[in-house]
Amino acid sequence: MSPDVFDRELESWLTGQAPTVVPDGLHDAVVGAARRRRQRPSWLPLGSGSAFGAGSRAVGRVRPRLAYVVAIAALALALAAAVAAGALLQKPENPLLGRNGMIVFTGSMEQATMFSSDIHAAGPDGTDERVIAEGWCPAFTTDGRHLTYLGYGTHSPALYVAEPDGSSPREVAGYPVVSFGPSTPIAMSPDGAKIAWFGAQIRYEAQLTPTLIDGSMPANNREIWLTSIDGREQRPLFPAPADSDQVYGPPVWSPDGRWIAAAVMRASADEETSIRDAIEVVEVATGKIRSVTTIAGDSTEISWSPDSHTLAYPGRSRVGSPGIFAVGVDGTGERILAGSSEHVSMPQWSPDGSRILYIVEDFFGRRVAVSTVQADAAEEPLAGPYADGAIWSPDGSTILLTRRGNGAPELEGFTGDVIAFVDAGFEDPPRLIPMSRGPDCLPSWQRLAP
Amino acid sequence: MSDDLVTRARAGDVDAFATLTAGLMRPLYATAMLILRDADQASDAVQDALVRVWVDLPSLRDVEKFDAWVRRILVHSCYAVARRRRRREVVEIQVQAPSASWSPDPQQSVAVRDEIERGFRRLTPELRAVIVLRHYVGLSTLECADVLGIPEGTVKSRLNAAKTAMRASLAADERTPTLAEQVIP
Repeated sequence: MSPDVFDRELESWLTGQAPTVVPDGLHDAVVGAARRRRQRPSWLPLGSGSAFGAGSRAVGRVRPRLAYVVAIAALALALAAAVAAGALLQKPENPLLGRNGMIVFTGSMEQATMFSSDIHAAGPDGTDERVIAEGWCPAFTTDGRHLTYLGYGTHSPALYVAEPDGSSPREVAGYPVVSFGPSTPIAMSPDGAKIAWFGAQIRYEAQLTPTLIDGSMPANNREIWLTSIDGREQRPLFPAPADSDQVYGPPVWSPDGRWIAAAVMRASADEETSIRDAIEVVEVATGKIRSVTTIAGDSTEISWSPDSHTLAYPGRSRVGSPGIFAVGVDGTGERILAGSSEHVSMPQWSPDGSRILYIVEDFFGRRVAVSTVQADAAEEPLAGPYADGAIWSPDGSTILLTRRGNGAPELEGFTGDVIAFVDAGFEDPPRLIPMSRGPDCLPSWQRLAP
Repeated sequence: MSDDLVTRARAGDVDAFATLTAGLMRPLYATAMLILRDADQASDAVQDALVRVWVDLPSLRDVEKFDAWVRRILVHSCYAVARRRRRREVVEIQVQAPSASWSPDPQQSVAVRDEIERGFRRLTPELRAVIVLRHYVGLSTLECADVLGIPEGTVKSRLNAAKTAMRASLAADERTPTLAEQVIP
C-alpha cells in the first residue's frame, strides 16, 4: 500500500472513529467547575535586570488589603480581651507565628560557582536588598534571633552563626559531611544553641567534630549526632540502623526544641530511588527513640506542626495514592491531610497550623498548593503558581517561592530564575525578584516576636 | 472562536467562557477520544483541560493563540490521564486472532481499517497525539509542533515512527497465510 493510500485510509478511519456527540453533562460540569474556581492572576514584574549589586531594583511595597486590616484589628481586640482576662499568661506562645522580619537567600553571580556565593538579605517586602555575608544556604533559627549559614571556614566549609543582620559571625563547626548539596544536613535547634548533624566518613580538623569520630569510619548518613555550640555537649542521637542498607534523612527539630525527627531511607531495588522505611523521632532530653509512621514514601521531607504535636510528610496510601500525611509525635492519629493524583513533596505547616503548603508535580511542572488542615477530611487544594520551592512568611499572609527556568504558562515573558512574593490566597499577581541564577537553597524568613 | 469571547473570559466572565467552551466541546472531546480510546478518560481529560484553561486564562497574552493553547493543554491533559491509568491499572493486552479472511476484494478497505485500528491501539499516547493532530485535526507539522511544544523535526520523526509501526503491522498481516494456505500444501 502506497503512503498516499495509507494516509487516506488513516484519515478516513480517524474521521469514522471520532465521536460526533459529547457526553451529557460534560459542558455543564466544566462551566460549574469554572464558576467555583478563581482564575489565577498572571505574573507581574516589579523589577528588571539583576537583583544584585547596583543594578538591583526594589520590589514594590505590599498593598494592604481590607481583610488583612480587619483581621489585624480583630486580633488586636482579641488580644486585649485575653490580656484583660489574664488568659494570655497561661497560653504558650506559638513558636512559629510572629511578625515578618528579614528575608535571606543565596545569591550567585552568573557563571559563578558555589564558592563565590553570597548571602543576600532584604526587608519583609523585598526592599533594601543587600549582601550580608559570603556563603550559602542561610537560615534563621526558629526564634529569629540567630542567622546560620554555610561559609568558607578556616580549613574546610564550615557552619557559621551570626546576628540576624549577618554581623558578628562565629565559625562553630567544620562542615562534617562530604556533600555540598542544597539540602543541608545540619539543623540548628530553635534557640540556636545546639546542632543536629550527620556523622561522617571524613575526620575534619575543625573546632568541634574531631573528637566525635572514633576512627571507625561510619558510613555517611548512618548516624545523627547532637552538639552544643558551646562545646559542652556531644552525643549520638540516632545510632546507625541495624540494617546496613539504611541511612537517615536530614534531622528536623520540632519548633519547641523537644524532639528531632528523621526519615530512615534505603535504596530501592533499581537503586535509582530511595524508599522511606520509617520516620523516627527522638526526645532530645532522654534520647528515647520511637518510629511513628506506617505510610510508605520516597522522600526525607518532614514538617512539624507549630505546636510540635504532629508531623507532616509526603507518602503513598496503601492503594498507592500520593498525598501529604500526618501523624502524632506519639505515633497515633495517622491520617491524610491532602490527597493528590500527582506526586507531592515539600510539605510545610503554616505558622498558625491551619494550612499546609506543598509542591504538586503536574504535567507542566512543579506548582505550589495549599490545603486547609482538617481533622478528618481533605478538601480540594488551592493551586498556586509554578515554583520549585516555597516557604511561609511568619505571619502566614505571604508565601515566598523560588522558580528556576521557564516552561510554565505564567512565566511567559519572564524566563529567568526568580524569587517571588505571592499572597497566601493566590489572589494578587506575584511580585518577582529576578535573579541571574536561581538559589541553591530555599530562602529563610525571620520571625519577630508578635 | 471569537477573540472577543476569549478576551471577556480572560477577564473573568464565566458566561463568556461557557459560550466559548460550548463550541469547543465536540472537537476537543473527539480529539481526546481518539488519543485515549476510552470515553470516561476522554471526558476526564476534556474537563481537566478546560478547567485548567479557565484558571490559567489570564496568563494567555495573545488571544489569537487561544486555539493552539487549548489544544496544547488538552494533549498534556490526555498524557496525564493516560499516565494515571498506567499507574493504577494492570495493562490489559487484547489478544486477537490474526485475520484469516483478508483478501484483495471489495472488503479490503474494511480489513485495512481493522488493521489500522489494531496498529493505532498499539501506539503510545504521544504517538497517537501527533497522528490525531496531523491527520484528524488537520494541522501542519509546524502547527503540531506548536501545540505539542516540541520541535517540528520531532513531530516529523514521531509521525514517521507512528506510521511505520502501523504499516509494519499491516504488512505483517498481509504476509499472514490464510487458513487454506496453512492447511493445503
